Amino acid sequence: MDLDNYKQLWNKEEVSEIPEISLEKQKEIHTPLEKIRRNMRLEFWSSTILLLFVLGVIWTLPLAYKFKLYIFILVFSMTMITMFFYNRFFKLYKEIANLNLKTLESLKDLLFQFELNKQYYISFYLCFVPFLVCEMILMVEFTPKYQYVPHWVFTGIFVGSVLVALITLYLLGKVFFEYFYGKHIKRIKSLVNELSE
Amino acid sequence: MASQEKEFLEKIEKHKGVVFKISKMYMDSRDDQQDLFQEIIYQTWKSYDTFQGKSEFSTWLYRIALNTAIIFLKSQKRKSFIRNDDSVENFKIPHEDYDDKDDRNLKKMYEAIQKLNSIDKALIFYYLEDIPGKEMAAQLGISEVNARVKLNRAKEKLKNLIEK
Repeated sequence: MDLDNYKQLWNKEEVSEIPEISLEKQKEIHTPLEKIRRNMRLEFWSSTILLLFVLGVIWTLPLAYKFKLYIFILVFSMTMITMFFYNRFFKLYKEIANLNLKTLESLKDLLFQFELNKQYYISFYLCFVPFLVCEMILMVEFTPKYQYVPHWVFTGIFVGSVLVALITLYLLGKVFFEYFYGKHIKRIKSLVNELSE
Repeated sequence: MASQEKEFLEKIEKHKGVVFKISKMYMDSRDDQQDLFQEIIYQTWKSYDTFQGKSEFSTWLYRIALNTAIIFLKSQKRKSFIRNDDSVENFKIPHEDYDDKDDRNLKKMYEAIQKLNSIDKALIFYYLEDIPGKEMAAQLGISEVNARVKLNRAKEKLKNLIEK
């Protein structure tokens, strides 16, 4: 049987079990981009709650007042930065995916928006680096036992800790982004390549 | 019901069969097909304001439907337990001398199409709907020559999958 015969079958087919169309029900549907937005909302709230939890814990701990104040200000600034970036992410995702365009244009537009989002993500994580280093400096400065260790030991511990913290931050950001968004970028990229070839 | 909504529903009603066929091309399980169908209707309704009537409603609808299907993220629910449960009964060909063989062939065709990649599925859809090469190219945003080459490749792949 050749393809033209299948084409005739296709034209003759009477589709059964078509779902009822109700524009009211459409509001309940979770579109693919809605899933991404939902992930972002989850990320936003989990980051904010985590940072607020850290603030609360710091404030209740029996630590030096100055230390608590410095850390409190740093974590509070991090919370503000988180809010700023997520506000950008939400705005970006509100505008993406123009399905009205030609297929290739629509895919390129989506890919561009994803790539832009990736750059926001990188900037977001980079913003945390100075905060992390400042927090570590404060912790070292306010920990009495570090005041009496030889310089080479102190340097080793401090540089080592900063490196571990930065690598952890990098890996966390990478894994997080790949898990939630990276796979979509790869998929859209391969579709664009397939169509442009 | 607002007049725009009524007008939209009337237009969609005429084409819902084809939209559901697109869902069947892109998704293998009944649940996913229904999700994609609803998604296409939703996206079309959302973009309805931009439909200016310069082209046929069907042309505009097919473009949005295929763009939605191409980027649709397949639901992961019950993935490991789900099997393709489309029995032959779900593929009905209405004619007087009803033949079960036609339904089986249709099922075979859908199963083969589902194995193609998203772009090839769109090309095959345009072929099955008899959309001219020029219009197909315009819808996809590629040159006509490129569209024809891609269509021939997709048809070859489909033929091999059906014959397997």
